[in-house]
Amino acid sequence: MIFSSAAFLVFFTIVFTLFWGLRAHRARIWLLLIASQVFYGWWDYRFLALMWFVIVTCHFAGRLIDRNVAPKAVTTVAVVLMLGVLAVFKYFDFFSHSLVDLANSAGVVVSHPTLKILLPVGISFFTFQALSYVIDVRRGVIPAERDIVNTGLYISFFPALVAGPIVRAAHFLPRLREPIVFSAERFLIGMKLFLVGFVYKSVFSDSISPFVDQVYGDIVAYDAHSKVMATVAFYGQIYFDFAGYSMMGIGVARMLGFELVRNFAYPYISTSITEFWRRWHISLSTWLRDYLYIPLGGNRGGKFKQHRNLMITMLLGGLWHGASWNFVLWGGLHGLALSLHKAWSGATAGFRRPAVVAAFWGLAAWGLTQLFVLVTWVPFRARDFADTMDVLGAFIGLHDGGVRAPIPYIAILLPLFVDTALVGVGSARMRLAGRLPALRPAVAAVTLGALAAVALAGMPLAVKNFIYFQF
Amino acid sequence: MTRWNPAACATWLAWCLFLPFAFSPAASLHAKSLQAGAKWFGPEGRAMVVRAQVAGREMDLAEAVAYLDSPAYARQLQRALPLIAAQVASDKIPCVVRDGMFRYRARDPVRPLSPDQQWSPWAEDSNRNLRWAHQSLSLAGCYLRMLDGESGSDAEADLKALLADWYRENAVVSPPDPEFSWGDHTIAFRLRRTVAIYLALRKRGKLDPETSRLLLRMAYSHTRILLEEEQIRMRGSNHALDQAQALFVSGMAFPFLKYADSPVRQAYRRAMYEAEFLVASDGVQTENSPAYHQWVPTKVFSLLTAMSEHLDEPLPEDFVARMIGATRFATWITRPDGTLPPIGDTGTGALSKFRAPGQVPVELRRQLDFAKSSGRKGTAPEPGLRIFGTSGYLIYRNRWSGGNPSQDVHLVFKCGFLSHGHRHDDDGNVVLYGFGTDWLTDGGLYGYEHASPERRYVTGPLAHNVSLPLGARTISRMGESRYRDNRTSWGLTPMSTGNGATCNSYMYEGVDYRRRILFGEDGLRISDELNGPKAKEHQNVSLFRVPVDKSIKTAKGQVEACDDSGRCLRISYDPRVIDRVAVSKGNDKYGFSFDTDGYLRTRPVQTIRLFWKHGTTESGYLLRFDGVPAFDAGIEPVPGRADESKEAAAGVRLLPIGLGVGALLVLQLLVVRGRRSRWTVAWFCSGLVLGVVAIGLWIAPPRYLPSGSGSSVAVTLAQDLGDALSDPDKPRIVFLDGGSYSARGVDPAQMETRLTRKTGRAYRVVTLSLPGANQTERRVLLEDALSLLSPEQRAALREARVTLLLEIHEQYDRYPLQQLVENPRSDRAYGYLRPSTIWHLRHKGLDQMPEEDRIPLIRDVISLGAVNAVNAGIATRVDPVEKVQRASAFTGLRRADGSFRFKGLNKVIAEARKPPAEIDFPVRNIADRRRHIVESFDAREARIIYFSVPSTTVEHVRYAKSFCHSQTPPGAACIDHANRWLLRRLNHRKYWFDAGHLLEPGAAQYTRWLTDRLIPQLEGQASEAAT
Repeated sequence: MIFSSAAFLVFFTIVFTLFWGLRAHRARIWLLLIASQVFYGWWDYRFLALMWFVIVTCHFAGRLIDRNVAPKAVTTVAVVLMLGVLAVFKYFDFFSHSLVDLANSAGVVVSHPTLKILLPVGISFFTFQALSYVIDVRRGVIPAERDIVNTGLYISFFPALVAGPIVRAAHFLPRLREPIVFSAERFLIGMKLFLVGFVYKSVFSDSISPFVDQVYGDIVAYDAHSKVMATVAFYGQIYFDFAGYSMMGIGVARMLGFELVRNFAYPYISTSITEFWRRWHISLSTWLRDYLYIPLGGNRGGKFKQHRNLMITMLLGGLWHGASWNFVLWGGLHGLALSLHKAWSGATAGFRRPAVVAAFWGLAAWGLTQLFVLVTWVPFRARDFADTMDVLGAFIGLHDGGVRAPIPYIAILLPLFVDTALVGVGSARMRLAGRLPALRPAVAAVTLGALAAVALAGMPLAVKNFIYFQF
Repeated sequence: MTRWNPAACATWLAWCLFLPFAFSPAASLHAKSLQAGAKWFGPEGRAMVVRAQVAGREMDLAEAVAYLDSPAYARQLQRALPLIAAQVASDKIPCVVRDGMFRYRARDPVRPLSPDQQWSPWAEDSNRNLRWAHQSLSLAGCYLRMLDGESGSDAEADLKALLADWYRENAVVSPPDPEFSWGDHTIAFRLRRTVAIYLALRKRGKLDPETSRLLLRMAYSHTRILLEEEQIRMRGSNHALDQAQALFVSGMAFPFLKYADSPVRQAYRRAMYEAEFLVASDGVQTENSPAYHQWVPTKVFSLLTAMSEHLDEPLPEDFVARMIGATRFATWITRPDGTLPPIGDTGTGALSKFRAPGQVPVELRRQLDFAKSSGRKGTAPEPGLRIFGTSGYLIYRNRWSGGNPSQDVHLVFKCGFLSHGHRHDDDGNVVLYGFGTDWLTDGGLYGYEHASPERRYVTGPLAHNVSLPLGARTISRMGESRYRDNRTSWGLTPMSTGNGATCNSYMYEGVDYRRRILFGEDGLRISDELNGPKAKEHQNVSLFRVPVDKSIKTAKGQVEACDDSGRCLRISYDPRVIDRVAVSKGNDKYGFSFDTDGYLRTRPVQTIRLFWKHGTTESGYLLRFDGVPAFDAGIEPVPGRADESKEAAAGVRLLPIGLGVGALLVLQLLVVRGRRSRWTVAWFCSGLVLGVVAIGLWIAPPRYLPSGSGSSVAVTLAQDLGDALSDPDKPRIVFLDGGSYSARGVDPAQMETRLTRKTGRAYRVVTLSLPGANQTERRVLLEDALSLLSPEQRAALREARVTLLLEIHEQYDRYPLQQLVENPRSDRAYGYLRPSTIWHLRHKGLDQMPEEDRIPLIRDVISLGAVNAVNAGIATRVDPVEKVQRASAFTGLRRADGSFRFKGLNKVIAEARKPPAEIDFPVRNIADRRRHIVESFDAREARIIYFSVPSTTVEHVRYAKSFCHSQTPPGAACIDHANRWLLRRLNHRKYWFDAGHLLEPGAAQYTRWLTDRLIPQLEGQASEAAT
């Protein structure tokens, strides 16, 4: 069930009506849990068992840790089990192929022990949530949840289930114990976020994706300009797709009275790669920081260890996105850029620039950062290393022998310009929205209703999957 | 310890006992043939005891033979004869090549002409095709052809002897040719020919009792076996269609023979089943071979139309759409020289048998004529790509030259299958013909000797221009799990830009094969991928098969194939990917390399083999003719979109993007505050409804029109009206509102010319005639068209003199939703069934509908209404008015429907003489239509003239006449077709397409007649206006 599909709109209308129609808090929690199972089972009900394996594992691990029953061993076992789920369902084929290819290249002939395993939707998201729960209980950040219904809802909460944002137990579980009261403001803000996400996904991303799929589906057939524009299109597509989904999820949760963390904050206005990672997939980058980077040592232990930790974190962050060396390469490049930027920032920390120079400096920094982000999306999107090199070659004018694809310039550039230059800069830099008068609830509701009609009007006939479902 | 499991042991034992039988030659041989035996041909065999029944009285064979001479049967047969004759017409074949020698078909050997045939398999000649023809009694077709010739009496005697000989030798417990004596297909052909022989002899008065007895025995036994032996009903093949046809002709010719089920009803059910299977939704015959497309769709259409007419049963829902698709495919698959590409089981030869049904628009039939005649007659289609995605064909033509196609290039790219009948392992195959010669050729048919190595070669991947993992097993049966698992993605997918397509195939076990072809200015790009768990276990190779008359040169990175004139096809490849190139010919160390020169005849070809480097899973090729832009005609940019923006070319609509950007800006700047109030949700819903309505109004005409075919008619009407209103001569406007009878029967251009010439005044005839339309659809289209007029034009229209010509038709009056009933999911239904229309239709016609129509109709109205209510606010289902193409409302027909038998107009003429009948008219609907049209025009002078278009049905003339008598309002006129002069004039089959529609000559006659009757009315109106 895709958030932007008619099926979800009907599903959510029913859930929303029932949720606010029920009086008892407990009944509402049960309703959300059942709705989440329906939502997830819509794709493939068989994977519900897998999800419940994770839920049960982390719940009872938490209980045992809380009772101080071999907490270290229990934590280790739980983490291994959950990483094992990820390893089997997401990485087994990747690693087995890689090892076999390595052996073959060394002259040792080994056949592929391939398992035909379907990748469960959103597995990376819910296992990370489960991991953070167990680790937080072990660290004493949160007490263990006694009610498995609450744990189940935390792991399977449908607005954040399949593509994030990655919810923290410390943030979510306490909310389940509080009374949930309908708030017009929360509803309106949730609806606003949902509609923004809807426009991002259904109108912007889905309009661009056929062009990207066409060119990246047959890279060698197209000329360099088509490849570059397809990369620019993907630069927009992945942002609108992922940010759109996150916003819809956050909006849906907000309409049900839950607040999820912000996942995107106009990443394409970033003037450095460090800023980019503070604005892009915020819930993942903070998760990696808290549960990987800092435990590895973080900034402690000198510059070398700091850079090493950064590289490890980003390489694993790349691998988290998918079982492919392309993602590892993508993560590695970003890790390298982060290290370089840290070094550069340290070296130029005391350097003061006049306002005019600072303005041009900022513009150049923005250009360089976004060019880097753009180029590093190539391995993220390309099917393999050969295609990656082909597209990267196109950026410097190589491989210009193919045909020119029809390029939808307006569909690619206009939404990016409006969202980044007008809204992003306006919102983040000038706080334009904060200076506008607030509308009364009735007026805001009617306006949002009308805007929902506008968003629906742009809805394409065919609904496409979200890119981040594969992660 | 292992436990002894008796059940498992028993199962294994049963398997072991069964296996030898399962794989014995006899088991496979008889798979599609009847195990003839005592059940059918013993002393008490079912086929031997003929049972008949007339008016409840049982008859034996002697009585049945006597009944053949009765007047009652003669009348019965006379009525059925037109339907049967069309089905058995092909059974007379000119097969005698010289005295005493015959040959069934061009590809068969010449044999002595003799009724004494050897029915057992011939040791010296195992030609299965010949044995099949022999056992199908094809020889009888030769004799039938000879009956009226000089040696007619000899032919008659030989024909009877042939029948007797066959029956004596084959209707036995152990038939001589177990595969074909009672094979699934031979039974059907023999039955059909039995009926053909019976009719031919009866017509010539040459039926003697002995022959009649034999023929009845033959017909009875064959029909009964077809009805009762489920094992030989070959579902999902042309064989089963032939069986249905044979049952139909047998049941029609001998209605007194008694069976457990009615052969005609059973034939209809079977034909409906097969029609659904044999002709895909895009019109292509599903048995993987263009040769079968020549005749199977033609037979499907003609057989079903005949059955439907006889039984008064409905035709399949998308019957006409499939006919149109079939015609289009036949046009495009035909190469510039008029031949078919040798794909699948297609031999050499021209497209000759395909007949476009009369329901197909004349323009497409002209295009078919063009293809069949190599451009000597007909109209050329637009060059470029035509993709039949459901069936997996992409066909490219760079040009359609008339008369001299020496510069034309024809390419077929094939992928996927919907049945495994006659399939070769040819996914990704590229067959190229150009400049009068083959460049990349296919293995062709060879023959049906399935066990021969040559046959195995032509059906395997090595005989096609594909890439393959050498040694991988191929999978080409629909029952294989690999097919079922990948069914949805297996096949051809057009690229959104329209300049290529992708083939996804899983025909190699363990290897996923993807081939993409892309047409461009620099040539044809082919990209191949062979992936999957076993991809790296095989040596991968790409094949290009070039005829031997081309010289081949290889160099690093390219291979050239040149003809005698020096024209070269250059195949470029990436030397980093290709390990080596080899060219093989005939039969060498690489195995076979040939194509088919005739039945069981081979001709060597040169196979260019490009071996991929080990471990490589991708390769690519660029094909081009030096100095000749052969692959870019009509393709770059996207066909038909050359005048559109880049966004449109890339398949992106700007309207939703604009709406999205606008919505985003407002949303991002919207600051909300609120209290705890559930009314907020209600306010939100109100806003949503208001928004949908506002957008619905915004995208409504005149800015946008629905993406439906009816919009073209609205635009044409608006433009014609606009032209008329801005004409300085102030022509009188004649507005014609009708359905398919008018669209085929009234030529507005002819009417306009004649009116102007005869009256000396300027007239302009504009028309809203729409085939298949009903008054509801036309009502919406009229509103759309009028909304497209400028305010000045609308003002001028109010001042104009308008004559409203309204066609009379019972269907329009009684069932305003007929189009929806017949085709509820069409784009036209979407286009006109808007919320406003549904509101208007809330009670129209429903009360007069039959119960079985009413409930589904209400259901469809509700569901479509719901969809359209949302569509009202969906900008992706409308087109800007300026992008909607014109479409002519008059679509004349040139050739009669193949299944239509003209029975004369005498009954219609007799009805025309009678006084008007008492008919219960749907008065409310009639008045409502009239009022709506008058109010829509809002013209100062608007006169209504009803008219009816002739048809061959009595009910129609009765209705029209009574309508004119009782329903014409004061001030209006009515011209019905109950005119004996007109009807006598039209009393010839050359004027009729079918029972209700006129051909072009008929339309010309009727338009002239109607115009002459209109003139006094129009001139009277003019003089009244003057006074």
